[in-house]
Amino acid sequence: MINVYLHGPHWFLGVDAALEALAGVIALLVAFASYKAWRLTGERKYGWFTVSISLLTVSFLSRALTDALLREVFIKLPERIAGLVFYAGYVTHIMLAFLGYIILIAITHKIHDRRIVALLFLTLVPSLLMSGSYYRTFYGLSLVFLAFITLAYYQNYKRVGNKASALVFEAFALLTAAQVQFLVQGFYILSTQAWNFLFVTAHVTQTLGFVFLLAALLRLKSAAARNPKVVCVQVVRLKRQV
Amino acid sequence: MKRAKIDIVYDMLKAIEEKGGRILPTHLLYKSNLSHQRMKIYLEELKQRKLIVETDHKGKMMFALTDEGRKFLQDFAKVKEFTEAFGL
Repeated sequence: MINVYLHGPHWFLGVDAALEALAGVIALLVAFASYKAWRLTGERKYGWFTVSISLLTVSFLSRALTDALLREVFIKLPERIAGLVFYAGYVTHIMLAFLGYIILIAITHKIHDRRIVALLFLTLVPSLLMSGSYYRTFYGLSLVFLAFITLAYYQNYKRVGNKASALVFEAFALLTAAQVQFLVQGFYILSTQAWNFLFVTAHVTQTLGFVFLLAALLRLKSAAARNPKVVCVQVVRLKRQV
Repeated sequence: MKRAKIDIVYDMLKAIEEKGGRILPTHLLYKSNLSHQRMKIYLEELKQRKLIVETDHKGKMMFALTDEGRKFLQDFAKVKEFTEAFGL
């Protein structure tokens, strides 16, 4: 027997699924931009970045679909089927998100040794299997991973110093902040009102993080469209600095 | 620091663009900072990918940037911006 836990206030059921779907769509746009860079250059780093963000895309879309089904947005599921949907949907969400985060850590921290990447992923297996709460373990580990990714993007912002890199750093800082809220909310130590409030704010913070990623992407597109020559000159200047 | 293949291609196309869209082979050799042998290999690839063409200008053989070559330069600039923003 699989228990299905529905978090959050009643009015928010279904809204959370919509926000997760939005996150998935934005991640898909970032993955597509990275795929185009990979097609043009053929460089591995763009290929791995595409894989990482694609995994996050599928992870968030899987979570959105699972939540929409469990909140009976489309159809009413029998209890047994709902249990299976809950298990399959959340396991997919958790495993793909972790894999995506680990690849992103390897890319942003320039970890080239595949054994270390494999080690990172393998340490997750006992962490999840021996955990008393998948919910808390998932958000706890996500918090650690995203904090490391945010650190890399902060260092990148300090090095590059433009608006797009600032938006990417802020996006991951917001995603990290969302994990803190999910984690605190998962400890059931708060009143129901505070518990529900944190569930809503965590989702909103997470969505804001993805909106910031979209803003960074749009800024790159508009910068190139506004004045392609200026962009070329900037690239030349940067290359000279290197 | 060793340049990636894509950076060498960019440097060569950029050199042609900065010379008004066409360049003499000797100038390209100087600007792209490659050995004669390596430049020949890269030139073949650029021609195969239709990024440049050989032209005759006042009796001199030159390399000219094609529309695909100009588009490559623009797309590459976008990729560089993406690379910087996402720390790749």
